[in-house]
Amino acid sequence: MKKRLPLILAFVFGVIYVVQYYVPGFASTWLANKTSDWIIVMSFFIYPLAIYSFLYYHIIRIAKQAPKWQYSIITLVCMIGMIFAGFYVEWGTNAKSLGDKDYVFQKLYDFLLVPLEATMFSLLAFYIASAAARAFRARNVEATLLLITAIIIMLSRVTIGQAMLAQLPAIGDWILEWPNTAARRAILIGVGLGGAATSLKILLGIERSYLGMR
Amino acid sequence: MLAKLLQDSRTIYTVILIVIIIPFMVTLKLPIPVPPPVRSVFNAVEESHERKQPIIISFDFDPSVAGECAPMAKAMVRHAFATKTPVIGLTFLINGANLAQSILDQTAKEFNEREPGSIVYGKDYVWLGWKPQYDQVLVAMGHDIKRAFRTDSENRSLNDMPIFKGVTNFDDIGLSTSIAGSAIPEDWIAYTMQYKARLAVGTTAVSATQYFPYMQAGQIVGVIPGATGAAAYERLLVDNKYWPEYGDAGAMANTQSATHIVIILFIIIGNVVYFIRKSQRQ
Repeated sequence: MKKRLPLILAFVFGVIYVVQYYVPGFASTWLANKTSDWIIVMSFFIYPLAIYSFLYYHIIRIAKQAPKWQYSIITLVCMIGMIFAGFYVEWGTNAKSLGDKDYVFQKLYDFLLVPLEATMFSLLAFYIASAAARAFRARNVEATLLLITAIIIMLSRVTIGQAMLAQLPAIGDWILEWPNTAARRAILIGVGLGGAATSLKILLGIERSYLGMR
Repeated sequence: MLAKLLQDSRTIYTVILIVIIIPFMVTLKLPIPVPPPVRSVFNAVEESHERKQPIIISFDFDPSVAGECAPMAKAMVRHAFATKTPVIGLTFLINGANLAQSILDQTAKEFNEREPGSIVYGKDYVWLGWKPQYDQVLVAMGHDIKRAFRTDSENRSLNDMPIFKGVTNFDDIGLSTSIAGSAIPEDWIAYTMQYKARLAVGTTAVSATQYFPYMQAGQIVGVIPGATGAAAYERLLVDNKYWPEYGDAGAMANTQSATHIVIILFIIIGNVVYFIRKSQRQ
């Protein structure tokens, strides 16, 4: 039963979704609404589990003094601090509602989280420049084609490209709309067929690796 | 010497840093090209206004990609407010919720400072906040948006808001736009394309290419690609006299131009050094 019940559930709910998509009507809409309500409600249970898993991992790291365990302390302090700030709207301020700029949670979000995340992503510009300078070589015909296309696209997407050659944005648009789309479409069709086949295998209980079974 | 410098990451990082900072201090007004996919999104908002239908903007981005996505979100909200097209805002990314709400509230404030009372919450825009399990929420919104959310982020009933008058599901929406740095727009396409609402995507420049097949197939009306796409949208706002000046993306245009030129120069120098060494070896 431990193995069968999840398979039965996957089959029943999978079929409900397939049927409601292809057979619109009051009953199928009602069933789909109820099912999505339940799935949304159930998904909230992921969060206590995630918090438990997160706390367990970092507390064990600190207790065992694993390499760089000090970062786990920072992580826990940040997490608990944000939760505390989130619950206590009026803590240390005159804030009355969640959208208030005086709200400590909003301040932590605006002045800590936003710059930190933006900084992490901004570093990509430096890594891409470094990688392009050191590895992007015209070693063969394919690499040369890629190099020329990359340069055209890079120039066509920025203002200076149009200033250099008025037709450059149109050339860039053509590359994106035709050769790029052809390649992407081939990948998408492959992914779509693979996804449909895997979904069918899951519904029929052939594919069981998501349950940790072979 | 040149090859040694290029092999050292610190040289490249320093040059890129300088090239990013200096253009912000120099005023160089180069014409910003408007790609057809961006114009299509702009036209779709205009048509929603003509049909008197609200638009949905799903702010599916977090602070990591806000540099590219926030300017296009702001430009779209400005466009909607300027044309009095109601905006239904929501997000499927918890980290982006505060950012998205700030964009809506600040833009409303900008308009109300210029013309007091011009943008009213509940009538001209609404902020639904975040909901988990976005695929299920999209399915539920396809049946009834007010049932999927019931209240806005401050627990006010959607049934009492004029913006939802005559709105049941995506059939009553002029345009749905998902602005994201992830693959969330693909779920918007999968779950909402059977409805009458047209769909547009705003995304980072690096992700934009993956949406061209959907655009060519007519499943989405257009794509706003990265900061350059946002700058193009800002240009359309200025050209159509909806907003007096360029926003954040317009300011980034020079920096992007300079950075791209420097990266291309790095590639060319790297290749010249490669071929010189290759000929020397032979």
